[in-house]
Amino acid sequence: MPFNLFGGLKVLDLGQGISGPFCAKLFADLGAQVVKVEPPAGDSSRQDGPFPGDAPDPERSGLFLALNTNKLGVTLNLESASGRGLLVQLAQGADMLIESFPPAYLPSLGLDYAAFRAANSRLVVTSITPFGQTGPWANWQASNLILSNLAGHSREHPGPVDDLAKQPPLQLAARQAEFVAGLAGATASVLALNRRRLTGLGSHVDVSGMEALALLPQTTLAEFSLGKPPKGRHKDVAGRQSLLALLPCRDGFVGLSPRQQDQWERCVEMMGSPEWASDPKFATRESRLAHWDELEPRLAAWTGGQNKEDVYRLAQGHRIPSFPLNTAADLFESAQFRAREFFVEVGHPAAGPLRYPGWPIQLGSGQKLELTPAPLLGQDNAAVLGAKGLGLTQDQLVSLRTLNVI
Amino acid sequence: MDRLPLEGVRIADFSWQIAGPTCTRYLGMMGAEVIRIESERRPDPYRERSISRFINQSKKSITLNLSHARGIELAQRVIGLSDVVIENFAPGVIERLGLGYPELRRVKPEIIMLSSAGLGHSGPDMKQVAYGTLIQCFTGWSALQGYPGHAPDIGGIWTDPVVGMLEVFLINAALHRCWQSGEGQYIDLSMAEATTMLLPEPMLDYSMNRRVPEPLGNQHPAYAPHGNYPCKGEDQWIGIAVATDAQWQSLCQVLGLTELPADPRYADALRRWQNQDSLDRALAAVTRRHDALALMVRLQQAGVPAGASSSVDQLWDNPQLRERGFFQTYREQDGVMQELPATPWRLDGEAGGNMTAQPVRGEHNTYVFEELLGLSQPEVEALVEAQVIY
Repeated sequence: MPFNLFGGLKVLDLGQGISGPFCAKLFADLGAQVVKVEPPAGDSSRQDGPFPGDAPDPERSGLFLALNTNKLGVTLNLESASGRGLLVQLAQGADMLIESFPPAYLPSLGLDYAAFRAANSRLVVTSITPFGQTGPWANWQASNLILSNLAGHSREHPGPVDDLAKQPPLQLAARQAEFVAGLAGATASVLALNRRRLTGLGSHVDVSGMEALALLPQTTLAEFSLGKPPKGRHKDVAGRQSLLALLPCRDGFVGLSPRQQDQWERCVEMMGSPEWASDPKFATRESRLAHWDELEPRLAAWTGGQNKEDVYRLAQGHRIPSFPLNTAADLFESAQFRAREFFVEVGHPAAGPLRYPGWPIQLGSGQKLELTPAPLLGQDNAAVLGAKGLGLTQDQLVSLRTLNVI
Repeated sequence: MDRLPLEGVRIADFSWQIAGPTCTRYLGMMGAEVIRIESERRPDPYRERSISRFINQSKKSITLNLSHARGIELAQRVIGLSDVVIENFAPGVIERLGLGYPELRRVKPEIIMLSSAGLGHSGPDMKQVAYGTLIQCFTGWSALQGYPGHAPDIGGIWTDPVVGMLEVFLINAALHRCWQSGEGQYIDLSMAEATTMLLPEPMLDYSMNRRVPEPLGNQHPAYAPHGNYPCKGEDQWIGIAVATDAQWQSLCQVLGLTELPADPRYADALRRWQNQDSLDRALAAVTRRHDALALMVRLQQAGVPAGASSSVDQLWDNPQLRERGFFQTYREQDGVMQELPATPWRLDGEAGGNMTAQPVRGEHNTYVFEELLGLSQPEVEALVEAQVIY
């Protein structure tokens, strides 16, 4: 039995890129019927890699494939009146519509929230944009880098920096700002859905990617609200504060954190009680912090000849917090991820069988994640718009295709 | 907000540290009654840190000694009056306490329980000692953070707050299901897997091409210019992310670099990307003369994605966040009015929700034990004396 938390829920996904489609995927994978509505040219993420063999192909974008599992796919040209009419008809039968266009775009087509509400008062309309629907920056443009900067992440949430002039503030890797916006969008959407049980009405859900990201550095926000000055960027603040070292190994790096006194004592024992470890400089947590510059190279010398997985197993065996710095390759081999069936193989007609990241949950009901492949462009036009869907005839479908509506 | 989404929902919150409390703060803000179960016997170490005033807002607090049979019995009675239980003890602990899902289901069949742990509650490594930032090493996330050609970077605290948000989504999904069908739910969540779930690009790249992606710093895999460029003042930077020819033309115009668009090295997107190092130097030579915030406004007005690298004080004064009511005022325990960020969403244009100060430990013992559970005042006093309510 597949995940069925959203069985019976009908969702329209007008999202493009990452945030909207990721939001809709969270509903699709948990059992909602999600119809992805693409422009005839396709979702922009079809142009983004990775691609098999690095050969661009809109049906084989790894990003698109991963973000659009468990969805039906139709094409609709919203620039045409017929296309807009079909969208409104679909919205009449839906519970939720998710979109991520610039705030002025849908209203310019006559498709503002009031139009959707008039068609279906129970519809939840979720708009996910970098800055939200209102305010002086609503129509500004942003990307992961821009949001990493503006939300304070690149400056207030840094890792170690050796040279402030040569190492600029750092964006989040792997476009995480856009995934966080999508996650916040899904959370807000299900809250609006749950509010509908009280009001009988849908709502317009306005999600700001910048705000979603700005909420993450919670310690910084709390300290500033208490009147502490901003920390700014410094050399290796993160590691020093928590006695967390990222140490080189033969095959990569391992994180090791003997932060409590008993953990430190077991760490010394694990390393074979070397003479240097009895130096009073390393006797207490405070003194170890004060002499971190001397301590870290000694730990590195011990890990340097070993494999990261071996250090991790040995340290955890001594109840010392430690994890290897895993890469994608390591995770596909991880016994832990395998035991929980985290990666799921999906067969796709164009991209073939590939393993995708799955969900981080196991349900007591025994329901399992099942992933059907992302739709080919316009794959479900006939099913969704035709006799069994909106009721268009074969002739009408052909004519809409000729007119470039679908 | 007229009606908050979680009106009438009660949460029994056994969570501690960061991720769980982050989740229940959102639930409380959205109208749920969150009852945090704490104990003097096993205090949350994060209570002592400044972050606590943020993540423990909008909830109630009771004290219960769970090493005491009577404490467990009272915990079960609180759960019996609740819709959701959330906990993140080390795997196996909640079961040993007699508060595992099978027991709770006997107390209340439609209970929703979310149990979160670093690596989840199954698998060969489930019992490993896990802390937030260290978990990030395991997930593939840390291996992608950092500057090209440098040692990688664990990064700031990421997994905890992100997982906290995912937990809000999952609990609301389970509530939705429960209201549709009457079904309860047990959710075993792996924080590590939740972090990896947000990394489909590098994972699919490996799946497709057996390529292990390296840290890219501020570069983009396909577009240039893309990076943080120095501005006037100490450690001031502007991010510029050009994705189209039109943005490229506008950028050159705003910076007064009239000769650059004609330079064959930068004639199209591919050549700009191939020659990004020389392009970055040319841009940095000019951006140095500009104020970051002023340049950002001029670039955005010209249609170029740009943003100054901002510090927390700038965030606090940000005109966009202010206009949208991102910060909400509340009364702290000492009576002083304070403000903190509320939520990243507006429902029908309305900001905020129910924001109240972090409760003192045990602040709501009378309300919960006397009003909700119906114990008498002498009974409660005896339980305090016996260090059950403790």
